[in-house]
Amino acid sequence: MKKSAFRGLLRLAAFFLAFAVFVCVGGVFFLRTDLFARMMLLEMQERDDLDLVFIGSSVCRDHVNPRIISEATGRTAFNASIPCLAMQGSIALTEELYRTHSPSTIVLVVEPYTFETEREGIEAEDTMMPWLSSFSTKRDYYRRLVAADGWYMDRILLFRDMGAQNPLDILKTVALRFFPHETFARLGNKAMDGKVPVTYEGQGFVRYETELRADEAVRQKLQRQVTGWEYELLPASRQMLLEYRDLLAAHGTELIVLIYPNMNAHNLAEPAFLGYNRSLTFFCHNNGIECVNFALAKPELLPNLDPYYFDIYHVVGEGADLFSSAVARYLNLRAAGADTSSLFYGSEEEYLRAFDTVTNTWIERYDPAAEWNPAREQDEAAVQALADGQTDLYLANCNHSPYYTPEYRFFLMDGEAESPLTGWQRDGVLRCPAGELDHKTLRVYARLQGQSSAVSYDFHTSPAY
Amino acid sequence: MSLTLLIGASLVLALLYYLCPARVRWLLLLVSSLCIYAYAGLAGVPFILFTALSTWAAALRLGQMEKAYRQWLKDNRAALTAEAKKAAKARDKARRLVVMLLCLVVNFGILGLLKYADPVLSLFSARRLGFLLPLGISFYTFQSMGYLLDVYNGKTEPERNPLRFLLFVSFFPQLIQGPIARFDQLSSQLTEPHSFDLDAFERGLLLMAWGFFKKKVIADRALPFVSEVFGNHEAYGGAVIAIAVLLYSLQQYCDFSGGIDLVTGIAELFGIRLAPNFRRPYFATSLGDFWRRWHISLGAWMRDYVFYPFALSKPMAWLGKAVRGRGNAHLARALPAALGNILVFFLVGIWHGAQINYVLWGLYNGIILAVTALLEPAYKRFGERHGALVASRGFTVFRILRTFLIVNIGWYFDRCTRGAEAFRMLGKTLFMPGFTQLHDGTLLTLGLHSYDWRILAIATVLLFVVSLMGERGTDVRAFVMGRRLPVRWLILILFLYFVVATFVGEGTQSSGFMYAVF
Repeated sequence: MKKSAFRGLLRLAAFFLAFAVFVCVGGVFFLRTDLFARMMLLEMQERDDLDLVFIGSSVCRDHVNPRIISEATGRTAFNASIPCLAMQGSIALTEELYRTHSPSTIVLVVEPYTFETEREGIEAEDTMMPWLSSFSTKRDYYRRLVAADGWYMDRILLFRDMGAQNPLDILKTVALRFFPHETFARLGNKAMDGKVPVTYEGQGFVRYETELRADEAVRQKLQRQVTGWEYELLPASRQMLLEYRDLLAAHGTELIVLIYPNMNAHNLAEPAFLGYNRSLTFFCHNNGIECVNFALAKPELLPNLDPYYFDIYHVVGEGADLFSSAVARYLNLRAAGADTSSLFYGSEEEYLRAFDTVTNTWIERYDPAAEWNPAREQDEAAVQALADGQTDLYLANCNHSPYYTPEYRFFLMDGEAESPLTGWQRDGVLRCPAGELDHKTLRVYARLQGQSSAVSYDFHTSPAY
Repeated sequence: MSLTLLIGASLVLALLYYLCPARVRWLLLLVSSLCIYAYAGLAGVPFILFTALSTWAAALRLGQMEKAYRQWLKDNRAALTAEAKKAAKARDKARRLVVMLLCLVVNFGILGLLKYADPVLSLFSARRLGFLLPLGISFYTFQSMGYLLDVYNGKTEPERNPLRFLLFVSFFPQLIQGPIARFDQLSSQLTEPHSFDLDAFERGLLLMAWGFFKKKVIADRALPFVSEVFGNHEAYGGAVIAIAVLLYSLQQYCDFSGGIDLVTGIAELFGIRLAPNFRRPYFATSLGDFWRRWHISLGAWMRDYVFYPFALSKPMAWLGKAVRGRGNAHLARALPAALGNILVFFLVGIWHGAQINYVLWGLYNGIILAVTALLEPAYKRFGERHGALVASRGFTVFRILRTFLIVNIGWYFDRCTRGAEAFRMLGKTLFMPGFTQLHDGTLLTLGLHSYDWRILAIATVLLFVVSLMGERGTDVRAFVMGRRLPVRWLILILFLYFVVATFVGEGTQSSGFMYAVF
């Protein structure tokens, strides 16, 4: 090869090297930055005194108020959470933690997502990767991520999915890197997470304040039947949990796996979630990992948090305060060597037997022509037998414990005035001649048999097909 | 085949190509082309092999017959009378015609059967045969038949080596969507050993990046909007439909020309220059000009093998004479050309598919070109009377916009799956614009968010600027490569970064090339 061609090839290689550098720079600066994740990581990196650290995904970020836990336990607590974090990110975040801290306890707050997917959301990587201090931590984090999903390029080119949407995003990211405190002060301690206003209260805690409530967050069972998505402890996730256990043991830190308290309506709609908790608890106990399941916490430890959920997973600040108080109480009792088992139901069955209310109810219109029919959660064959083409079918359902039987009553609404269409009945089926109830408002009440209190739901009808 | 895979494979092959001994480089190209073709669909391999080998054999036979005839003529020159020579020539021509037609009919027959049987059967609600359509079958069939006709007409010597001819037919970059190459332009380039030329290599890389940008940043980003509106046009007013047609214009151009840029760039990695297939068609000042800039290789094929043979045929000559006899010299000249244009565009429509919308689209173009040819004296008179106006820049812009409008009306027929739908959408565009959909948020619910619109706008402006530079005679690649190193690198890095950051990933409905199915 001629000398000039060789030089040219070197020049070409140098160009691609320069481009790679530019891509790396882009991976740091040309991203949207989660302001509160940045502040959490910054606070974690600037301090060196953390003793009790909660690590998890968004359900940890919104549920755990470390100030309350610190006050109640006398320990320096911190909430190190990144939305969408799975085990890969938890390991990376813990390695980052160990750079400046020697916590005596780490509480890994887990949800089904933590273990049932081998793929950590690219959002978590985007949020955390640019701010990790160590190259080796970054490298290992990337290696774990791509080993699971094979997204080699996507996970390098983060700015493709999570890139700045406008120059201000870039400016904000750059400013948060070089002048984080000043930028945080200038931006103000307010932001929106979707439609919900949030504030950063320090120690990693992000408080959500909204009037929104998860009134209709009830359909998990149905969605999972359709998507075929099942709760599962995947082998790779189990392996990473064991790696995590060993990592903490090597640093002399005790590990507590805390299963977060899912919304009761969610538990009732999707009993497999409770089964998932059971298998995780079993796995932990078999591998020398302490595991506490707050999904089975009794009301005397943890009041019903359902009224504080603003979506199916996350709670507003008041809910976080209640939960944190419960966790602090548990930790104090545990530290005192008290038996905490009486604070939790001993089994799913016990929990379900104790749950003697209907959480929520709803109505669907049955459409025999529809491919995806919400009414299938009723007895499909029975419903089909009722459909004759001349009759409209409205189906009520509710979330309730399988140890109790619900009953329903339908009303036709005229403004706020109720006209009864049925008496209390065990099946939630309302039949009427085709079109008779089109463009009307139906209300259904649901309660457990033998009880007087009921929950209601209004349904605005329209022609189905 | 995934675009990323194609690019990756091309780079690796280019490396191997220059590491190989010079005399076997063309064999490496042949083997890799066949492997890539087999990877894209093993079932297509027998078809391309049959076309290549049957064409090679037929062309060789034609060459042998021609040679034998000339030898016979030479040997018997003294003994032959003029009539005998004429009779012998006619006999030879007839025998050669049989060979040529046989090969032509068989190969076009295969193309017709595979490509058109199902659409035609569906017109009669008959059961579909479900034939597989081999990748690039239209392109390699047209390319092979062009070669056959050139050999028949004595323009090209037949290739003796079947493997070399197979490489001409199957050279992998052009298999996907052309361009339809000429044997005399491409074959020698394929087989001669090229030494590594960094400048050409870099130019090839740059062209590949530009093609990738057009395809993956612009075309694939516009696709969801176009698909949604054309798929559910009843739900949208004429204004939204018009935007969809404009985006289709952009999408189709960037998809096709981007793909061509990409494969031309790939070929340049091997030191091979493919014929240009696009020359900034949306700067055309007339429909005829547009078709000389769009899919140039197909236009040239149609011109050489359909238009001229038809327009210069005996019936057309007779028709011309008959019209001239009635005292209209212009009509006598223009009528064969006008009919030839209608025929050519009818065939171009059919080439796209057997559906009626393609036929309508072809006829729409053919008829406009025919009418334009017939009205030429009127244009000439207008030019003579308003010379200053016609020469002005404003008038050129007007002509460009007028052509753009005419082309875009044609796209209604090209993109709709049924002719009636095209008329309904056109009617809505004209009479039921529904302007409120332009500002009530509808535009953001059709597959493109505001971010996508911004990317599309930036990319389109970039495309326009580069095209304008090209239109003004600047070789944009040479312009970039001629800058000082820091400036050049900055331009390239910023461009590549923009492409990497904004290209639409694969695995979506947008992965394939539109013209790969033709």
